Amino acid sequence: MPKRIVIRNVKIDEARPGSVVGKDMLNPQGQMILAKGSRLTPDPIDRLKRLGVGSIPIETEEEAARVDPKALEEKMQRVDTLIERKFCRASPDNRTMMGLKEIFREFMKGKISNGS
Amino acid sequence: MDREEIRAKIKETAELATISAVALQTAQLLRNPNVPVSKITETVSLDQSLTAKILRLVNSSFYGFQGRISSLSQAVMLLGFSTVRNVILSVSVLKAFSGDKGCKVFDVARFWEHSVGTAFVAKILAEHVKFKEPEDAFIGGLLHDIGRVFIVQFLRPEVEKIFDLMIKEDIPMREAEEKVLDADHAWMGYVMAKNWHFPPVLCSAIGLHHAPNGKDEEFLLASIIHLSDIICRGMDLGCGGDDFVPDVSPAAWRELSMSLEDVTVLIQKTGENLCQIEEFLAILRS
Repeated sequence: MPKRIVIRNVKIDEARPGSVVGKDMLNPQGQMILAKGSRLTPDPIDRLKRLGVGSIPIETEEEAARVDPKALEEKMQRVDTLIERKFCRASPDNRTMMGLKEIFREFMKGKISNGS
Repeated sequence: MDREEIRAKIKETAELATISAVALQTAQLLRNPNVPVSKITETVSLDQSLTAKILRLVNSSFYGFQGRISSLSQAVMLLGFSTVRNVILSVSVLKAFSGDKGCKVFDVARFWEHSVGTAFVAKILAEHVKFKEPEDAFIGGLLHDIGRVFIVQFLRPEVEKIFDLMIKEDIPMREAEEKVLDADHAWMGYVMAKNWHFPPVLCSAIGLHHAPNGKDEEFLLASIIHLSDIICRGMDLGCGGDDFVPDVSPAAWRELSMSLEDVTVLIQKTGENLCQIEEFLAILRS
């Protein structure tokens, strides 16, 4: 299964030692606190907490979503239901609203196809 | 309860409870474009936690100065007064209305997600139509539903009646507000903004975001907020009170010279900025 690297903001309380930092972290004075690519150890986690940092960008390997056609189909159907609900008060003769409806449907379905 | 009673109640409560003294003072200061930056930073610095949060926000990815801004005056210098003013107002408004757990139907977290989302979309749309103050559009988007904050926080038991009616008749929250209070959140937001001495164009944008009219800047800003609210609802960013996407006002659509292709571009841009919206919200909530 192909893997891709994704940078995800992880809450400081959920950050685990050993994780790889995904972005340079600077303090308000512009000094480096943690460099991209470095591995987290318990010490900087505590230090970041004291500095009031809420989350850390962490590199995570993600398996490309395994496409389960049935689950995908269900998700797409949920989008259709949501869109119908959102636009149920718009008149089918209102061309702008019907146009928007399709644009939003496409946006939401696109998000699912991209795995987010 | 009639409009005069609601107006009196807004006067009595909103000034005290909804927005902090510092934000109010800032709003007062922003009426005068010649006020020195030092005066603003002095006022804001009185509130330590506000200052810290502002610095975190201006250093977030949204503003592109990650980690390089260390003081309020530097923030004003690099980002401009109106941006810093918006950050101050965002922080204060959200702080004033984040802890109300008393209302079961109204999801405060999703409400602010909708407000911040609308603010982002409004700024992108303002730049798209070359509105000269995109930062005003941001703050207009953030505060367009502020009247709902007042309703949910201060109008019990009316708010229960509004939610009952919404569920029973399956109607938008605004219609239920009209039926119960004979006034809607947009009007209440207008009264609140007036009380805070916001610039007139911003007051009308809040008041007219469901039915933009007026002239020039006023009409344009109201139209921007109107369409941004709709885009945010369509994209399902948070929840402004109900699920529905209201009809686009044809007058606003013309005023903005919009096409469906333009909206597609705006949605794409907003979609690319989703993590910035989340980051912004997370800092505001922290």
